[in-house]
Amino acid sequence: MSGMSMKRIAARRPSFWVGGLLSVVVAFVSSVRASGATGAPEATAGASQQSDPTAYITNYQSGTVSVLRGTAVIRTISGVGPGPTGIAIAPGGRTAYVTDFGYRRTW
Amino acid sequence: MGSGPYAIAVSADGRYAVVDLLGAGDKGDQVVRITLADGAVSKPVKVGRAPESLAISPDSTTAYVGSYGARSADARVTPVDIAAAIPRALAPIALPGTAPSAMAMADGGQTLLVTDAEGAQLIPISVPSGSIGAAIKFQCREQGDVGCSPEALAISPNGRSAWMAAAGSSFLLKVDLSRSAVVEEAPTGGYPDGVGLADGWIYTANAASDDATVFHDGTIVAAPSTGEYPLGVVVVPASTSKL
Repeated sequence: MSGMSMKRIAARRPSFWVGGLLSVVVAFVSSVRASGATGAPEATAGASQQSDPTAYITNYQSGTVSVLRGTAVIRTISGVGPGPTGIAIAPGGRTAYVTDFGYRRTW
Repeated sequence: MGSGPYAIAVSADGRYAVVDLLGAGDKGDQVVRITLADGAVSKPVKVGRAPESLAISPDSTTAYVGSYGARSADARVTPVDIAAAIPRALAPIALPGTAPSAMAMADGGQTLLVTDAEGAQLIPISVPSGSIGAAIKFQCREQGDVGCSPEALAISPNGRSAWMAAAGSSFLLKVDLSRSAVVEEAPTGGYPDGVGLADGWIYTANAASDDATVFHDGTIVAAPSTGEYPLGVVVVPASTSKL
């Protein structure tokens, strides 16, 4: 993924936010177990197949991650902080790491 | 106000995540290395202003950080040695006049591809020499042209093609890397800010229309709603997906 422009960030930046992250790694990066993601299933994936890949999409304004298999949204994961932006998968495909741009501080 | 974690990449060996810290102020504009086994966060490494894009070499030794600069004349890519005990910045590669919005490695790690959101082009950089190759220009002369504001980039598994999301045009472009030419283009939802692919499927995250555009074997097959302002995308192949 890449960035939206700085202007777009400035226009939609959430207010300062600290703490409360679902985090097993470090305070500002959430990890999501791709092998057992929490959150309510949204659809019984009628159109999707086990042979389809799984896509994870960060929703910056909603503070959620949408999980799609094939064409269907099968889950929405919350608890990744108020402003998730970047997402990366560890080799093996079992854990996704999500950066939360809502967590701002002096480093 | 400080800075916030924005982009993230995980090294191919699974040992490290690299996160760029984006924000105003003299303490902003850094990257940190996280050791995934124990969550240890390195001392921040200073990079250029507004580091929005990241890529890690396939050998997991070097992170490349693309930054817009305080002025576009200062845009650059900073290689960061992430294998060292304490990560450190190496000599930057200047990309004056560009907006390095997304990056990916190609040619088995010998080429760093950089999308330039300002100049609507894809810039190949030989690494580690840092020599800049001939850019692939996209069509963006006026509103409605297909190649404006490329913001996201993904490389096909065979390394022959790059898929670029032109956010400003709401198009997905396929670039044949051996011919250095755009060979396909398709409309997406509004402001595609992220792209990911696996198994012949491609997903764009469309920030302005709150949905994803799903391609399968080159055809749009769905446009499901996501949450608000979707941006980041990763796709896990079915062979490794154990959901």
